Amino acid sequence: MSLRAYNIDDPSNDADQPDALVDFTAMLRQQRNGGRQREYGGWFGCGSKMQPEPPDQGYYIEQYVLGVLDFSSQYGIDYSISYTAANIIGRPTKYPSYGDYPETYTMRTYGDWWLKAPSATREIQAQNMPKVDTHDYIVVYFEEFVVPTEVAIFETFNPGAVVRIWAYGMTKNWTCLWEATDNDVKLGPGRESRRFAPPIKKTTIITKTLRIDFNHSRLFYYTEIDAIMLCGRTVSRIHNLLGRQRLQHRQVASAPSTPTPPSLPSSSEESGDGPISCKLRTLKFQPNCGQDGATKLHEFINNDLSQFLLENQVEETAEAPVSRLCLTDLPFEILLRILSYLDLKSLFRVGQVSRTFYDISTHPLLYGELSLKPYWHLASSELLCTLASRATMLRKLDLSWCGGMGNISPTEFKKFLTQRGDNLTHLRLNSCKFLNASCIETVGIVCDNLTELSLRNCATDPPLLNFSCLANLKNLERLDLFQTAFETELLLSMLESNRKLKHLNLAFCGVSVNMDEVVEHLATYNTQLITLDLWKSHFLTTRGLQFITKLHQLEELDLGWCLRESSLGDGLFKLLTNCPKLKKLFLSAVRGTTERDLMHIAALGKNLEQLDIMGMISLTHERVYDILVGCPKLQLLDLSFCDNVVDGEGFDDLAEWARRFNVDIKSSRFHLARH
Amino acid sequence: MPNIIKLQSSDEEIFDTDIQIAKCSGTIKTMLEDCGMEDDENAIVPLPNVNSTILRKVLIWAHYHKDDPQPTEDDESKEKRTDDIISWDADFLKVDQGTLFELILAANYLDIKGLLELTCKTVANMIKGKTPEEIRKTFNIKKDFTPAEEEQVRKENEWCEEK
Repeated sequence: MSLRAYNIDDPSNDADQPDALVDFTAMLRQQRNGGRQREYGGWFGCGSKMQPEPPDQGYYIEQYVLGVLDFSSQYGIDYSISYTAANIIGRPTKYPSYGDYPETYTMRTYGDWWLKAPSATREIQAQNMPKVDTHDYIVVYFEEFVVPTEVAIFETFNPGAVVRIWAYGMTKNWTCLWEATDNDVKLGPGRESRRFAPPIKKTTIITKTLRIDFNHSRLFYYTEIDAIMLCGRTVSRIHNLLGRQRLQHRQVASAPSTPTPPSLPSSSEESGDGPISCKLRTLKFQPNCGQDGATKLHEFINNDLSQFLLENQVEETAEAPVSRLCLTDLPFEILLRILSYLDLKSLFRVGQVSRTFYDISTHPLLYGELSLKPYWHLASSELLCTLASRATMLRKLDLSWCGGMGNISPTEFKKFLTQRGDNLTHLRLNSCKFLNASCIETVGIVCDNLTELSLRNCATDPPLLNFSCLANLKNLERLDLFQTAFETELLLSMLESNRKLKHLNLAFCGVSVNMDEVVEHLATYNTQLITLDLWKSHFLTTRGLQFITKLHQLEELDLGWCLRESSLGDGLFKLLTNCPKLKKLFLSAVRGTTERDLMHIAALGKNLEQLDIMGMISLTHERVYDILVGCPKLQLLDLSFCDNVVDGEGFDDLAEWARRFNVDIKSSRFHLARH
Repeated sequence: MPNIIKLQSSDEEIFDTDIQIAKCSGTIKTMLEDCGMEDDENAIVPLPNVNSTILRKVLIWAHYHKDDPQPTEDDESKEKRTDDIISWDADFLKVDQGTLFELILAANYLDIKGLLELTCKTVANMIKGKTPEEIRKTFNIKKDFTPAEEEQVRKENEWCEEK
């Protein structure tokens, strides 16, 4: 990014942009270049050239979310108003109050309980994961384009999950404005509402779209977000266009030099790309000189230049290896092993080092697993095309979160699958906005070796999954349709043809599906099932529960909000008797749960590790105690809205029991940790 | 059964070694078992591919890790993360590159999975996050692309350039 690029090439006086970036590289280059002295002088006198705040400069505004473009999960259900992503729209309604409010945005999970559950999966190509992982995200837009100066997130319950803030610029790129460090995450979460406005990266990008990344691992309970504010300077129409031109201009100007600045020794002398320039550029030494550019430059030259040169010198001479044995002396298979630990970006970069490394870095063995999820903001049709030529032995593919802004075309995706899909065993396409019905059809036709298919949070309107599009699949062991609509007929035929199914997630699957029919099929064809998630699906009756009791291998069952009848009969008793391996049982808001059922849990839940009986108003202390004694492996017990036990004096008992029985007892009003 | 066996390095130095520690090497374990050397107190196991400097280091590492659980064979389930190196190992590997590479070759020849994994991860960490030029500098590698090749590789890598 060089000022020269648009100042000199385009003499129409672009430099009066008050936010013009000053590139010291260019300045030093010009200073050395005698012929350019005059121009440099002219530039240097920027004070006179830069007019104070042009009239169409724009103004500073604070704005709240106008709409939600995308999100990975929400606690509430689409047609509800409680705990949904849409609650993030507009001004804060609860802040600065602290507490559990349905009027906020809440996600599906917290802590690491879901990672300890039998349905947990392993990340594909885990070496790509950043240090601080993203579990959930939301993409929101605002009314006005601004150059962002502040982003404030209003957290009204269990704050501390925000780990990254991204902005989508007019150049169609995502920029990370802020990222949590390891240490941020190690801090305990807060117990007060907060207006979280971390210092964001200084930037000139123009944006009205933000993505917030969340990591729940250190939360004691669900986090709740009330609102997001985006502050910045607006850009008027003219500026807007200018800005766009300039950005394009800059991209063109900087493209050839940025990847490997010092790699062109022949041309470096002519263009003045000496070590200092390179170093400066790698440091992104581009202070904003809107106001006092001249002073800043003087300061730099007088105070910091010598130090900088010194450091640069050190860098130059250091690390010249004088070893007997070189990396390139290692045998091919060892180099292959070393490269197998690299994340995808580093793997590509090492391929730019030399021919040998290009050959090793493109070896198909290194592309048996591919996950572009951590690179969702970089994934493109072009990248898929490149990967298709390398990944001839591809078995596991994760494209979740990719292609959100149209940078992956359905055609390119289908082409990739047609070339590389036939050996795939694992395919994860969660929140892939580019998917259309024809893409899913291709999956069904090509990927007939799949054992895992994950289509979480895919388009619901119109439903992506039509009858027969996946009928070809016969080997599925895991099917995840969390928050994705499908036709009942399709699922029933899939259940019938995938007899080895072990994990099924149908949470939030929409109103058109009859769950009783689904579980009847499960009891007939899929008796190997280990985990079943029906959270907020519509609806299961006691008749359906009877079918579930025939799934004797069950280790995990989530019936939260989907079993709404006032009496369950002997359903839970039979379930606990027939499914002794149950480790996780969620009965959130299952109203028919009785005191007798809780006694059965205490008597039969020997292997229970996670139990959620949220909303059982009549729950008594005796039953809680029984369960704690009877379920020795219990680690998590959610008693939110069990008003009878969490109010008043009962609290002290629970606190004491949490310690004594080494169980995390949760409630929306307090948390009792084990330690 | 003797508790000590003798390992001989390529420069003919003899290392008296606890047999359980020596057996973390799949190669030595097989030699002992196949040749029936386990019961022979005076048997010498020749290791012609490892010099005494490196063998000494290998044995120090093996001694520290003697109680580690045996690494599983299942490559599929192995985590490829490289941020799990314990600080003792990190300190142990604060050596020059030549030594590090010789340790890799030794771990490979002796079939010590834990050490091979550790040393390879260490090299991977030296590559991670660096620009191609920085990698060349770090490992003293010459760029040998033709301009056309370089252009093609640059194009393939456009997606991962920092913007």
